[in-house]
Amino acid sequence: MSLLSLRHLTTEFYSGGRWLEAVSDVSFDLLPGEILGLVGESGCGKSTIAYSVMRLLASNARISGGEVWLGDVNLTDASEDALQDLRGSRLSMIFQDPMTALDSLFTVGHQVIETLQEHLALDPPAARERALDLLRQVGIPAAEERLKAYPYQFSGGMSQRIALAIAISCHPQVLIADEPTTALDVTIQAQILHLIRRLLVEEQGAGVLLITHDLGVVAQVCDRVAVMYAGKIVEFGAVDAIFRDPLHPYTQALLNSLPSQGIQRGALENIRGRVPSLDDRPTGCRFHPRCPHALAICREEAPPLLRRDGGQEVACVLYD
Amino acid sequence: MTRVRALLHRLREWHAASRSAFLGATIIVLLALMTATVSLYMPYKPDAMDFMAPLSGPTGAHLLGTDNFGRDILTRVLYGYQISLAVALGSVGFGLAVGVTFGLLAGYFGGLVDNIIMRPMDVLMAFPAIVLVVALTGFVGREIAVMVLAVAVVYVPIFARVMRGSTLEVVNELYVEGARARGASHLRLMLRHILPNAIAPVLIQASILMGIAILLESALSFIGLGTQPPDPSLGLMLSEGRSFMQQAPWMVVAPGVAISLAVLGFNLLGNGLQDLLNPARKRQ
Amino acid sequence: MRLLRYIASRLLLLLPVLFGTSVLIFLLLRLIPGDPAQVILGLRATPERLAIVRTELGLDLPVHQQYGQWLGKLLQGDLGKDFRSNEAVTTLLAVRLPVTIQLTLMSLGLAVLIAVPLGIRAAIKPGGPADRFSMLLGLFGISIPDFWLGIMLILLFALGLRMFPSSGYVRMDENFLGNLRSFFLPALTLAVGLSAVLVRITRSAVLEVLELEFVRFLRAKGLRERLVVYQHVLRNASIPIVTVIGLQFGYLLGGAVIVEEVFSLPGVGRLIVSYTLERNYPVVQAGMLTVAFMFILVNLATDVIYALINPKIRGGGA
Repeated sequence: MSLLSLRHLTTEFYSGGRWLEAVSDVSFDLLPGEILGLVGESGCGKSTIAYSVMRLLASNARISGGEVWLGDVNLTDASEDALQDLRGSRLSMIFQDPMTALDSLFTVGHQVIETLQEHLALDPPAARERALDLLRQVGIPAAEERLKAYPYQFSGGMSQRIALAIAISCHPQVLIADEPTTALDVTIQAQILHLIRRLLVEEQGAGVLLITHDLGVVAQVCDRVAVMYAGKIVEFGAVDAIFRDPLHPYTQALLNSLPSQGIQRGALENIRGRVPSLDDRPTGCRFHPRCPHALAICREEAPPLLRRDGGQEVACVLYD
Repeated sequence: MTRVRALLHRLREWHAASRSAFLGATIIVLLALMTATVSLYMPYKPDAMDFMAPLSGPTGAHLLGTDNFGRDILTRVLYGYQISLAVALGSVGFGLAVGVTFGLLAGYFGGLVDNIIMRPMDVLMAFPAIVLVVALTGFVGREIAVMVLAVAVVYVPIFARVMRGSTLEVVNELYVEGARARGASHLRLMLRHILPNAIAPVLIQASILMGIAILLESALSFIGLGTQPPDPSLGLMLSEGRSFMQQAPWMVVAPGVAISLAVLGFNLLGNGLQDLLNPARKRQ
Repeated sequence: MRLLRYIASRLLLLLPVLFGTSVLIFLLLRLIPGDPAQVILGLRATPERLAIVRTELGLDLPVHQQYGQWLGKLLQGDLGKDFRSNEAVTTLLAVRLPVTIQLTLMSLGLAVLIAVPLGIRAAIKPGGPADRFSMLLGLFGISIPDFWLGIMLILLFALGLRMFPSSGYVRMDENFLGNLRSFFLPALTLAVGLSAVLVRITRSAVLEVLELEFVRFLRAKGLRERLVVYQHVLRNASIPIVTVIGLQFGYLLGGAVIVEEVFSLPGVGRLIVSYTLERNYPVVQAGMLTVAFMFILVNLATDVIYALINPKIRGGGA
């Protein structure tokens, strides 16, 4: 039974007088107790998937096809009231830059407590107790005092812990983490990722959709991974299988750009060209202009995502 | 013929660039033309009294009615614009000349010069405009020239501040540096290189302040410190009309609408120019 | 404690402005033509009498000594005497000031009530009815002369519908409701121009804040939209709004001069106008100083409000 299920999700942006697809026909399931990595270069549609699921797209974007199910709730046709109830309780999200995610004019305590009071019927003292408890869980020292502090008095790592405390405060089944450690130092990155795994996956059996461009992060904490290119999933499967035997030429290129598979930013210096922009998507396989193995057919036909023997899924004609 | 077509083409381009600026400019040009030529087409003199038809409502002979002396209100409104525009042009022109000079010097030299010029300007700015103008006209004299100077005194610090700001923005640009390196004098640098590139925000401000000058003139005349009877100032007409506003509401409606229309024209022009200069603001 | 120190530092910064203002007012009224002694005694006064009165008024001294005397008395709370009635100016002001303060505060309140909700709605739904209305208000509100608007309101609501008195002043301690009624139309008159400016700045400030990341996070944690907008967004947008209110307070004070005239309210503005007409220097000087002082006080209040809104300025938090 999956916690979150995307079925042929397609999301468009309005630009220059027409609608352009940013996410095309994306399907996957997030299972209880797993961290699913969503990896790709910037502009490939990872964050758009996150905002589509949260139904927090900007006013110039829309879901034009497909469905997103949170358990038995269809998020794509849920009312705004229903969505507001679900967000922050069953479905939470944290962002890339923790320093801008909190309102600088309110105390941290206020921002934790208002979330609790929105979703749980807690009286003020109980909410305060629970907020203290949450701050301690995410490892904020001197939580009692820090409740009265303002965001500017916290470091980036501490702010991300606060955001995480808010996100887990109402026991979510699904957490979407959009590049949660990109803005942080490497040592703090590891702490935050560890915290996410412990508090959500191990203690609550929740599912985490971890969006990142960093394969190092994927290797560190993810169970399964979806590799995205230009709005589509090109490869999907267990992390160790994909790292051992990447099938799609794009995945191979991503892994090759990792120096000795250590923790490094995945820049694709060894692949010619760049990610195509929304209004300039190639026909057929979207990766073919940059693919070292491209065949004539790649220009015409977009290969579907198909399961291989090892259980890995890949969208490439080389494996037909 | 081709000239007319070229002109029409130009107008269409301006209209497309900013409808607000175009509309504002049209209102202003029309009002200016109408008031400049009023003696050619209106059959009445502004102070000609018709004792047979005092407080007459709008009729064919008097399109906007007459006042308590039987003077034609439309005629007086159109003549009234002469005073409004004269005060606006005079005060903005004077304020512009002095303010731009101050702002240019302050922004260009900076440091001590900046402080000597701008600190008194700050104090002057700390005053509600109308209070300053009331005091000046009240004590010096109730003539148009005094009114113009009083409004100009209020405008000098505003223009100086805007000019100083935009001078600071261009003073370190490459073309200024280049001219400086070629040995251009301070005067030449300021007049030839900085002024033309820094003046646009000042002109936008000028358009808005033209409108405010019209408001100030009418306000002053309204409280008895501006234009004196029997001259046809819009503010004065309003104050005279107050005593009759129940029997003859047109006496207060017409001049008020007239003032608003002119001020609206300058505000539309100013807003439109601002959008043209700064397209990002418009999209917001 | 930190807040108090912050206020003290702001006050210190305001002192030079206040000093400059007093010099300006003094010079302005002394250097422009016109002889107060002549005004008091009339045109047919003998030179001897004129000389005596000048000495009485201290007008025979050099200007800087005159200023010194004036300032010295000012600091002791003595604003001089009315030339004609010989009444202390402070007594005059004590009666007039409450009227102007009530008028400006009420119009400020009305303007905020009109403009802030409208600006917020305009920002939430760009191109919607609230947005269009706020555009019209923003344009016409600054184009219509306030004294004419006042006359039109009198014509409609006082003479036509007889809902409010057309003029006159009812003291608050005499009849509270009557007092509010007598202030409503003048306050509304002044409020329209101010709300024109306020609605624009509210709209653009809210639009800007709505784009910020923390708003997305507030929504992502499922906070109801009403709290997102009216608690978080509004508070963040309030800094530019408060700035503009502070700057526009000068406009309110200036407008009060005219509006008090239209509605026959005995405030400081009307005091300045009528005493200017008879060249009553001490009264006008004191009136102008009062107006400038109010403006400066409002700017101080603006700074304090900044600190209350923004914890970073006041150094708050644990």
